[in-house]
Amino acid sequence: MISIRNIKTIFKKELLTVFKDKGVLFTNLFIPLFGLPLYFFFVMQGTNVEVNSKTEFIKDQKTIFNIKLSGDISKEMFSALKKDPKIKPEIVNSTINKELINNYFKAREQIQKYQNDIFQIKEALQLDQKERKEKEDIKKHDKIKYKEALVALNKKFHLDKDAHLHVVIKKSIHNQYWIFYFFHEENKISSSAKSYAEAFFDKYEEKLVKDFKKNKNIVEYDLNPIIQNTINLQAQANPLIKMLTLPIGYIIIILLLITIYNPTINTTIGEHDQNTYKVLLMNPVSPLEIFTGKYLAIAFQGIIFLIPYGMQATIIFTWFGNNFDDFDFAKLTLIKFILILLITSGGSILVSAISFLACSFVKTRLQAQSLLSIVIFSMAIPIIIITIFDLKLNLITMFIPISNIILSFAHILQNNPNLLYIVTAIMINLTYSILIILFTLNAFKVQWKGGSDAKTLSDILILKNRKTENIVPAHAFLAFILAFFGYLYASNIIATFNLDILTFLLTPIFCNLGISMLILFYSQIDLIKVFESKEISVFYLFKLILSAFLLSYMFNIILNIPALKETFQLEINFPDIFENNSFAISLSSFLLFALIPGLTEEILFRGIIFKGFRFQYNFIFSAVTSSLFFAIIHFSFFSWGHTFIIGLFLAYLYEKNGLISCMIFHIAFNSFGISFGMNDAFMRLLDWSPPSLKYAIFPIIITLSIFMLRVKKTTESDL
Amino acid sequence: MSAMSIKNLTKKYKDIIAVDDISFEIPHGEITALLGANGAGKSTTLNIIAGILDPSAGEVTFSNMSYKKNYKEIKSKIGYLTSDMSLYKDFSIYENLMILSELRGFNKQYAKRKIDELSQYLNFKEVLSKNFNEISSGQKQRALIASSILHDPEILIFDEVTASLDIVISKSIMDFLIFEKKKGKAIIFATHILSEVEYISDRILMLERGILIRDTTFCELINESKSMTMTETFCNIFAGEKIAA
Repeated sequence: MISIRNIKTIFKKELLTVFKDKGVLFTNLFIPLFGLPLYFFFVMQGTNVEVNSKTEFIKDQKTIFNIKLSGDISKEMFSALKKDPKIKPEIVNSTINKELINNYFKAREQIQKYQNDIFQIKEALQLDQKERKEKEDIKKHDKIKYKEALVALNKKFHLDKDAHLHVVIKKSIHNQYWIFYFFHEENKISSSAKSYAEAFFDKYEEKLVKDFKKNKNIVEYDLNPIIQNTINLQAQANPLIKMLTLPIGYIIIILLLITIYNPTINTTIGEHDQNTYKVLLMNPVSPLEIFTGKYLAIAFQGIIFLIPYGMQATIIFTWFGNNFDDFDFAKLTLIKFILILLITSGGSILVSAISFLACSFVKTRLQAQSLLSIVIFSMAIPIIIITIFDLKLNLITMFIPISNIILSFAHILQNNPNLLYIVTAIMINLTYSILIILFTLNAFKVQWKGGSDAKTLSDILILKNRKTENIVPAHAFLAFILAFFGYLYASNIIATFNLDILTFLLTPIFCNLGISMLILFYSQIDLIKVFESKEISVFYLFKLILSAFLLSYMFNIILNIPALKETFQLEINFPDIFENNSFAISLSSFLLFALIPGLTEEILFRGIIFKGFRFQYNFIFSAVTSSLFFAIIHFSFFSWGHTFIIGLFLAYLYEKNGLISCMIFHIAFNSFGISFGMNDAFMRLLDWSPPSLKYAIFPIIITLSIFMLRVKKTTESDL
Repeated sequence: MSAMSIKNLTKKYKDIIAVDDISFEIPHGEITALLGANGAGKSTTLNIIAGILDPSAGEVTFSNMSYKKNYKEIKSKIGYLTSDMSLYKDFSIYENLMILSELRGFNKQYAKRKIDELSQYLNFKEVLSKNFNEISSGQKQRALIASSILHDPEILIFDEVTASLDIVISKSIMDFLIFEKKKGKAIIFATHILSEVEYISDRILMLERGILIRDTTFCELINESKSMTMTETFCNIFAGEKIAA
């Protein structure tokens, strides 16, 4: 039984120790009071120049294309506007320059003409393709023709740099806001300018109206595609944001760690150094209670010391915020403040966990200090990579510990903080913290109570007791960490270079199979232990495939919900040789998405990770943790749920019947998944399901599958 | 009836066997002395008995309770003290004892009374408000003894507590142990000082390289040996073991 009272006493004692230690107080209070304002002052000095140069650029554009509104809008103009799907005018009572109107019509003509041209070129290309199939000799000639056409197209219309867009917002007498947009220099209009304008309206219509309401005057925007990045924050990281993100994030990491660094060392290694740990251990308090009390105290004091940081940061941003044109630093809302506190709290909890883990590796204070210093600098590596290689603030970064804290701060600095990102990042950090704490607890027990079994991460990493014979949780955790970074790397390659087929082929082989083999070789485990499975009858095989079909069917019904559908569509560029060869595509899809992942993922996630946890923990914990890892590694926010459920199901299958059944199920499940996505007959099957019953059949199918695949316990009479 | 029984206790550190298959019992109302050369495994044995270390094999039972199942129950009946132990340096002696009594589950008033009583009994009342590293080693040791007997333990496990103390303070601690023994407590202590063994021990356990080589009383040892001094007697026994090994 865990006694809350004991945890409370330890917590109180540790917290008092922190506040009695003058060194800790000094580092934790001095930096936020003096260091941070000084740092921000220099950051502001640096960034001001950047922002000013940008605004000047914008102003220059305005001087050329500044248009004032005067004169009535004619009926002609009104009818012309009506034709435009983007503008929905009613009765118009505003004024506009005639010259402008002419420009507008000319622009429209140009666009229509341009669209016709595109259509003609497309048709020509299609014809080319047909010819190419008939006569291969003309192929080369066609290619040249095609290129020439493209060059001509670019020459004619690729004039983004000089095409400008003028936006005017007006309020009608009926309190309806409408937005006009005009192209200038009619000879220089490109399709991208138009599509840009449309995208702009889609995204910023609300904001434009809001701005208009605020100023109560006519608002003009002069937009040039070149400076799109400055305004379109969500599409790409702004250079300013990037510039701020790296140092601020880095400083926050270091501050976070400094506030936690010394207290953690004092409370873990310090007790050994001062020989006070025996005084604690001689009391009727279990190591779990001691550890929990200590951890909570460190995380809590981290939060306490971080509040002044958060407050100072917000005050400074409020103070200097007016210097930034595109950011709403000045608008410090309550939500933003709460979010800052939440992020710092989540960070403190995670960093405390990491510090405890680091301290549980070592035996002396000096070792702890050096290890934690290395940790401080290695923490910043992912964020440096993200900044240097210009990776997008996409969903993948949510899964990188520490970096997601910094990127959450970057989100807060923007006009519209992505709440989903921030909250999910905090949740993910908490999950990591819990996992790290679970492992640290084990190492802590060994450190404090001198256990000798190599069950902890520290034992594995310090190369103690290499011959363990069994797959242990530490192996599982190590395998996950290696695979995580492997997958992260691969997904970034996919995003950057589009080497689809190759990466889809190599990732499972290197990440799953390679890491599994590394762990197996490293820990010298008998291969048979991983592949242990019961014999499968033909009937059982049939049942496996049937349940795989049913589950795949069930998930495809979910995936067919329109909002989610896009996320799941496979976007693979098959090489030219596969073109129109459905057999080759099906075969390669089967290989890439069913056979190889089915075989390799099972070895890693069930053979190593699940079995590793199962060595020490009960079925539920092992199944949940391994499925969580399984889901994390798929790096897709929306498919989290279903990979998790499939992970649980496969864990159940492994527990009952061994690895071979899992492999067969996985291959079958993925094959059906591909069929539902590619094959017309399968697709039609999805339409049959009655919509009202969609959700009701899930539990039925799961229960049915579990019931089907259960294995009777072998009783003595059977033997 | 024995207070604590130790069965087939073994502790391995990597390839070194610190304690090798020891079994003995600690009876009530007796003082058991644990003797042995440096590195013989005395402290390891006492650490395992006190539940500070986990054994590699074997078990320690306290009236049918084992550490695995009744960790807290056993802990609340054991008082443990070593020479290298220390209280928290950032807190005063009083605060230290208050934290420990809180962990023992005492209420504040009872804890205050108990600390008052013990500080008078062990004669360190004047340093209660001082920090641990501001007081003399004798006072430190007495404060530590107070911390180990706050809860009236049935078994006292003392590991070289007099190692760095002068004779007067050592004797006062020995007298305290005899007084506690008379209350019916089981006491086991490790030491290098033979005069202490002579003064208080009822029973002597001798350890050599993790193996229990003798389980005798002081009188038996004296009768058995031919030499005149205690030191020679012990040296002969350990030397004999070494030659035999």
